[in-house]
Amino acid sequence: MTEPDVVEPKVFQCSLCPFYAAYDRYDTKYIDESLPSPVATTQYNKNKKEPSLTIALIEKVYLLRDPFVAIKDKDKIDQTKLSSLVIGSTCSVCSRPVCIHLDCSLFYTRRFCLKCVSKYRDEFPREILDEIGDKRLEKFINEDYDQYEES
Amino acid sequence: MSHTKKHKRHRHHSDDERDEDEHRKQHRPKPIEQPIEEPAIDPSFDWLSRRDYLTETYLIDTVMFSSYIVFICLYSSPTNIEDFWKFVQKYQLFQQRRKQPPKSTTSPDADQQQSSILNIPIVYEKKYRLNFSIAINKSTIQNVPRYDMTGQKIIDHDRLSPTRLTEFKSIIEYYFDFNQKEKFKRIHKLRQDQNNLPIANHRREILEELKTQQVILIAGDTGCGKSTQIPRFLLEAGFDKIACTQPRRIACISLAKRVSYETLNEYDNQVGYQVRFEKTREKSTRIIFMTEGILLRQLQTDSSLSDYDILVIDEVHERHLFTDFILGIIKCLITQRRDLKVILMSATINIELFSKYFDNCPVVKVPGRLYKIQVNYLPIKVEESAGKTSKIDAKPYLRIMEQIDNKYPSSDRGDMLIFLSGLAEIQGVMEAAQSYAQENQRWIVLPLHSALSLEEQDKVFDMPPEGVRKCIISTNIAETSVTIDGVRFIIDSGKVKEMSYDGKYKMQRLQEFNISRASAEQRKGRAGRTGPGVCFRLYSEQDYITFQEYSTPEIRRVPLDSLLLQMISMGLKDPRKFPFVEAPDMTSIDSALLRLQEQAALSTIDCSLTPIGSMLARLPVDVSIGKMLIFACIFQYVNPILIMASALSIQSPFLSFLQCDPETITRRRPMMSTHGDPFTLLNVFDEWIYVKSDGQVTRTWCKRRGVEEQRLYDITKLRRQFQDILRDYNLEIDYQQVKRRTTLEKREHWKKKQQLKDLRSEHDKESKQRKFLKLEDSSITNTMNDDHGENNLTKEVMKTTDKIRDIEFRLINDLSTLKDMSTDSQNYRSKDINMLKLILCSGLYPQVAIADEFNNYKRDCDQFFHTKTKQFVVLHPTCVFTYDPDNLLPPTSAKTTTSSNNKKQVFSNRHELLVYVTLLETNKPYIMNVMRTPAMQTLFLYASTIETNNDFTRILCDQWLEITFENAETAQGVISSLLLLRNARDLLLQMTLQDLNKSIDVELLSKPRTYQLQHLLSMKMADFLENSCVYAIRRVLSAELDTIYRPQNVENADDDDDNDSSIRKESTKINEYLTYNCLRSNDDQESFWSEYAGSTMQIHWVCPYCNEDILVNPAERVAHENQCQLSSLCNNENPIFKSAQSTINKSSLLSSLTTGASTSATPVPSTKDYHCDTCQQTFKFTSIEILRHRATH
Repeated sequence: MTEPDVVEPKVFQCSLCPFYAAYDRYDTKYIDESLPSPVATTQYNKNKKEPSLTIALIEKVYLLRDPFVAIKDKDKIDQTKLSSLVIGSTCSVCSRPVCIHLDCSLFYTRRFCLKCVSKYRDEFPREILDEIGDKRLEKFINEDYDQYEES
Repeated sequence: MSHTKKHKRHRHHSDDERDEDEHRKQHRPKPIEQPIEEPAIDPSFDWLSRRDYLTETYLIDTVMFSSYIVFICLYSSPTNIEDFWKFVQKYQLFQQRRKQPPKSTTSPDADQQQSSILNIPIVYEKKYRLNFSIAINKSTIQNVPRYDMTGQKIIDHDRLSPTRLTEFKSIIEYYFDFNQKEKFKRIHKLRQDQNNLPIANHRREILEELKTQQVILIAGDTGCGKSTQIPRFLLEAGFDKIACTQPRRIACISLAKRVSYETLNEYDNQVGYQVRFEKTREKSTRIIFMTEGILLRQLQTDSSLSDYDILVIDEVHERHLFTDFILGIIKCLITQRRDLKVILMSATINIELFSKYFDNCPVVKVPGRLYKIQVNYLPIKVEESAGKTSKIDAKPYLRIMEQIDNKYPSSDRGDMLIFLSGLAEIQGVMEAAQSYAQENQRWIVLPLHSALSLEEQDKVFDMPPEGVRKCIISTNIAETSVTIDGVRFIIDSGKVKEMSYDGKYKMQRLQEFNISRASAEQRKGRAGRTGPGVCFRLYSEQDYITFQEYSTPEIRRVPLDSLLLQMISMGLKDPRKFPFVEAPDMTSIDSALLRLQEQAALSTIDCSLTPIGSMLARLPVDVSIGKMLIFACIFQYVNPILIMASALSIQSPFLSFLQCDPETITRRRPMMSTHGDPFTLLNVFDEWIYVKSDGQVTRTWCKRRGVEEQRLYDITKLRRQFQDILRDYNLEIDYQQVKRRTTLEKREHWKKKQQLKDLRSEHDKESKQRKFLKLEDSSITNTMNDDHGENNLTKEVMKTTDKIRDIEFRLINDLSTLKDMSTDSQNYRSKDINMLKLILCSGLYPQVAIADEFNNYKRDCDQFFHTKTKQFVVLHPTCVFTYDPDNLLPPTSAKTTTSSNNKKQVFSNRHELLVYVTLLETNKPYIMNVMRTPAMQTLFLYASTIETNNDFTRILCDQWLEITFENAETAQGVISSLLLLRNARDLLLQMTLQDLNKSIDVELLSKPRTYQLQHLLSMKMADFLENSCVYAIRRVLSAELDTIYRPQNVENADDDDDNDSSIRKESTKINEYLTYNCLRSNDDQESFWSEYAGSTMQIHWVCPYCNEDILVNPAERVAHENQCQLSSLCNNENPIFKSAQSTINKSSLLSSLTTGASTSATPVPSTKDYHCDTCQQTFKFTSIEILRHRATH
């Protein structure tokens, strides 16, 4: 029996919770620059101007094309206008993939998974620890917390 | 909240100052500059007042606020910009409420302090929490002068100072952050919910099994999530071509929506559906939900289903006809396509059956998520059930309602669902329950069954007021098809009415049965979907145990004609060898094959597909409807037949007379055709098109006539589908093809499309809101009256759903064309109507009934009719003739003779028969969808056997209706035209069907001839219909069949003497259907010798076709005529068919037609030795005889 020839989708799996999703890009750019620039095709259009806002990411993240926004006229859509959604990142301390849910990670100049926050809790300002709450951190005090890993 | 650090602000400021300097250089002096020293956040600053300016300058056309919406509705802000300003409003409020303004500065060096290990800032600042930064484009800040549409320079009063700009930037940042996190939360929540479903724990197991196994069965109870989650698992596992079948179309659509949301594909086409009339499938679609019928259609063109790499067959336990069929096909297909994976999904019912069927395939059992349900057995006491005649006793049901009222406080929510067997029962219990409800004001009683209008059906989903419970009284439709949440109490009558098919009488039968244990459990389960529940069973536990374990699968209850036709057209030679999950009765297969042979869909010789059969197999309809369509094309009456055939294949659009008040009937009256129901349906549709093209509100029009408008829309869709199919096969030519839309029309079209889109989203919103019921909603009679009140009519506003349907209709159909066509059909004369009748008969024959001679034709009295196999059938109450039975009055004539057996014979040219679509037995055998047709013409054109006496004055059709002519000469004339018409018709059919398989250039050559033949046939047919010869008709009872034939000893022919064989010779089989001289001449004491003389007497006769003068006896004459006709039909030089066109395949057509008719002595179908196991004998039988013989066992 031959296995169907399928490309394994890129799946992001949070290391601290069961959350997973097939992501589109793991990138430091919010806008997908690998795609052909639409400017080439639209530069004759005088109404087109440079986008008034640009978003620069400070970390490398797992991105999903925003599933809550409709794409109409697929062929015409300007790729730079496709909004994306950040679903996860890599902990700057332990390098594990974590989702952006407050139960799992937080960003404070860099990404920290809650496990590492728990480990270095004295390093963080009071405001952050208050926001997370003791409850969230408690479960990480036990070092043997099960890693969530799916094959 | 945030506070910008001072030094940074300065830097920003200086940048901006430089910018401003540049501005000043470029532009004329601007309004007075804002003061330089501003607080970083100014709570009093009114952002919202500059909304339009800010939106246009900074927000529009950016990635956060996607652009496409802006193009469409430039002047109404897209929702996400709306969203942003709501956020700004909250921000503003937040800033204003802060008791003290934020600390503007912290010490600069504190800012530098970092923690020792991680090197993160010790002093918390909100901005450190953002994993991105937003920059505002320079060109935007520099503010290139902008101009409005008239060329006037726009002066930016609203321009922001640099400080405010920085603040605005950070607001955008917070919004972006907030937005990202909100959306992530939604996905996260979705994943959590998915993980909480019981099926989630089996994901890995299922995917593992799938790696090694070709077929797996997932058995999971209600609520385990299998229908939504399995397709998602497959998609995530990388399957690309996933087909999921569902027995119901509604389920396909709602599952596709749900799964696309759950797989985060709501806005692309990865998940789609395809059902009859509707599909959302594109190239990029990876999961497609479809009805089983659609998959079967696809199998016809792609027998290996190469479009898919995995099939998910849901609800296999329901055992629908198509489900079983698909399973059988899959069983064959998996050996052929080793790479194809199959997942069967069922409730935990009869798992072993399916697993065994697929060589013990692995079973993954998933527990359901049902709350606890308490079961109470409350068998109906004997005195209550004994007293019942046919009416249901409502007392037990009321007792339970009372019990609930006493036991549960009305503040405890929870509705009730009662399962009854049928409409009459629902009516009975509903009346009683309603009067109880009226008294205590704690219940709203609602019926639920398929005969209700869709709107009425939807009411069961609405919310009752506080303290009031819904009491839904339903048929078994609520068992699987309709799922209502919030049900807490179930009353199960333990009864179900089930349709079965009786092949002997060709009759559907609707009978009441005990339900199966499986369905009792299913009914019970309906109480535990949203919380713990109680199930009252109106039978004892003992009864429950005696119920059969599973319900009878559909394949054992319905006629198998269409199914077998499909099987054969897929290349299966012997349907008896099909690997059924559970085989149906072999007799029902045999009788279905026999019926298909009668309909000429299968060859009588070897049960192979005939050309018309292969055409019929391609049409997604019943064989009889399919035949009508084909003949409609041949006789060029396509439009009216398309409408009638569509109307006859769906539920009647008329509410039953019982549900209508007298005024409604009066309004309906002008549309009721004296010809019968198919014509009434045509009238309604045409009238409706008229009203619609007048621009009136058709909904009101329909309501006032007791017509369910949705069904008319369905007819339109079906009509269109049929038409497309006919066009696909070149059976009908689209003369309007060339008609192009004008620019104006295009614009109109586009406008309608936009309107439709807007309405749809409006409707989506509407349907998401819960509707509330009022106590008055309790009875249907009330609501019916409401809608008929004149006052309400003026107030009536078109509902969104109506608007949607209306626009959809106008988008797809060209209303003016439809109107023209209906005008045509309204101007039909009696000739056209008779033609239409004969076309309908081509599909409906032999569903014929003859009136009983003692009928009185008065309203409110049952009129009796007889079919060949079932006597004393009556008209269904929905039939128009029930209202005007006098339309069926038999003809009277001056001359009535009394035949030898003392029966009156009425000679007339106006005898009629009733042709019907369905024979249905409930409490009586009813014929439904009835029309009257001219008797002789119908029989002579469609009977499969026509047997005559020696001078054609006595003709027996299909061995049950006898036609007697007074005059032998007229009789011979009729026989001649009958032969001509049938020959021409068969030839034309053959030519038309042959044309279908030809390439275009050949088609061009042969088509003109087809047209000519068509023309000839129409003319001759019209003549035949106008035929005014008088005849008598009577029913021949089967007992009489022994004496009606001339004595013959066919069986013992071998050992008989010469005398016998000479008699045998006299009875001559002219062709497939016509046998000459096998009937006794008359019941008079005619001697053997006069009969003998009559049939052997030779006379001189000039053949009208070949002009030859020959000496023939009657048998030879007819045989010669038959042959000569055929050759002249195929030959252009002959008088009846003059044409200069050359014909291709002429000889082959001729030979194929004449093989059946050439020799008078040899029987037509070839016989072969057949050994019957039951009677241990070997016969010489044709295959049709084999089937007949088997049916006798």
